[in-house]
Amino acid sequence: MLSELFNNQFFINSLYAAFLSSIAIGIVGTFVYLRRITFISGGIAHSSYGGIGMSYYYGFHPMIGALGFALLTAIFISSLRRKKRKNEDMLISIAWALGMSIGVLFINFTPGYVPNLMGYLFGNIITVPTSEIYFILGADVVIIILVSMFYKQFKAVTFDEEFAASMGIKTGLIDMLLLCLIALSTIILIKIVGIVLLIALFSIPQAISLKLSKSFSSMMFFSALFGLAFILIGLFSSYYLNLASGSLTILIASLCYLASEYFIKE
Amino acid sequence: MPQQNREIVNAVSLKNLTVKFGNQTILNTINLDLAEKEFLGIIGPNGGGKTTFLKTIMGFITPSAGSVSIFGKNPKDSGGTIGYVPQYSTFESHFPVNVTDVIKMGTYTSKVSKVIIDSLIDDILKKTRLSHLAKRQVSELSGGEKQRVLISRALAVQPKILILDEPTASIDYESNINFFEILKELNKDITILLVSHDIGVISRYVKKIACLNRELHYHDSKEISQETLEAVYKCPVDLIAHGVPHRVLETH
Repeated sequence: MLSELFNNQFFINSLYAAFLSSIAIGIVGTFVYLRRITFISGGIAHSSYGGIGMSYYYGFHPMIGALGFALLTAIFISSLRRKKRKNEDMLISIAWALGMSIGVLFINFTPGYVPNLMGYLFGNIITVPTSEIYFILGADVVIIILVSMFYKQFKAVTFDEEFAASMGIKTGLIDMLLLCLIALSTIILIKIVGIVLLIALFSIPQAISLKLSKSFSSMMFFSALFGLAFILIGLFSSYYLNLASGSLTILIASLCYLASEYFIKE
Repeated sequence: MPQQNREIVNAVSLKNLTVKFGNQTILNTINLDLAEKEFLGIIGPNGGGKTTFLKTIMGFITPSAGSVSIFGKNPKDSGGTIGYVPQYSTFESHFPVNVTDVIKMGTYTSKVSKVIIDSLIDDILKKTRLSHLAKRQVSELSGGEKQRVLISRALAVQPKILILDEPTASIDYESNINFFEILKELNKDITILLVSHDIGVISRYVKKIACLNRELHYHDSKEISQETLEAVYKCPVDLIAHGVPHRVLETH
């Protein structure tokens, strides 16, 4: 039965997608979790729906639409909350709801049947086409390059933004860059768990890993490992149980988190 | 002004510094010249603008009027000149980092080699009496130890000025004494500026004292009159030394 699975191109793609998304979960997720900006990642992810709706109407690739909207939101939130000192909650809420609304409206405008939108909302790892694997791979490469270039700056700003600024680090720019990395992660995770469930993979693997880690890099490694494990268990259980993979992934992750609260002494 | 004639550049120089948020004046026409290797304690009530004062000196806040210069330069270009020591309670102790990792963050903008950085950090650990805790996770430290980690990180910048925000807050007496002994030693090479709402411990160690409550009362000395203090705090202050009026704890 397994050998039959491994001959299926979609199944192979979903394995690639799982491995590639664990990179974003480990690297970007660790910064997001420690900076306590999980809800910004929720806002950025939801806003990307606007781009997906638009892509159906105009006929370009949904991943391009999603990335465009996510990047715009990242820049919008990071610049307004600094320059205009706007309330961050408010900015997140606007981006979150506005993106979803634009998405729905464009889908209303689009004549005929619009396929497979549930996949973007709640994930469907078994339906990742090869074209999307290239997008995911590209986004991972950009994340790895940017984080290795600015690793110290990211670490300093995450640990203590004011001190970083006092040393002359351009904290506003680093903050904007981090939000753009979240935008890239959004398109990586969109087919795995979907726009709606994505924030769980930016909090649960990291929360468990923090209990086991003594350094940033070990936290990244463990987060990636837990993220991968949850996604793979979700994938296989969805295959055998014929239930939604994204939801199963989050269910398993949440159960593991509860178990870690009981069994791992900090 | 004598310093202009002799071309001595002050560590900190504030000219008519005013900061407003909307209609509210937080800092009102503040003038201050702080010479190198000075040790100035600024006291003032909560809400008197102490945090804004520090943030403006560090260039995080642009003044509404007047100017700030740090060794003659705009504070926005003075990264590496200032070693900032925030309140230890503001730092997130759940981070997965050890003492050495945190101190190393102070060297992140420096271009020197790893070997030099390692020996710098060894020196700092000795100065701040933390060598035995070098590999300890910050989450396992006491308040006094966390505070010494923060001052070590600021020293790793190799600054000319140390700026400390409320260093005595929520630290036990013993740790405070320890801490100020370290500061006194550091002051031989570095200018120190600290703000606090608590005159008690700081007045024993600083060289000069100023009072801040929107306006800065400073007479280039360690003496503050009872009248000034009361004007600043808007209430009688009971911290003036044991029956010696018009003086803050010179001999104690």
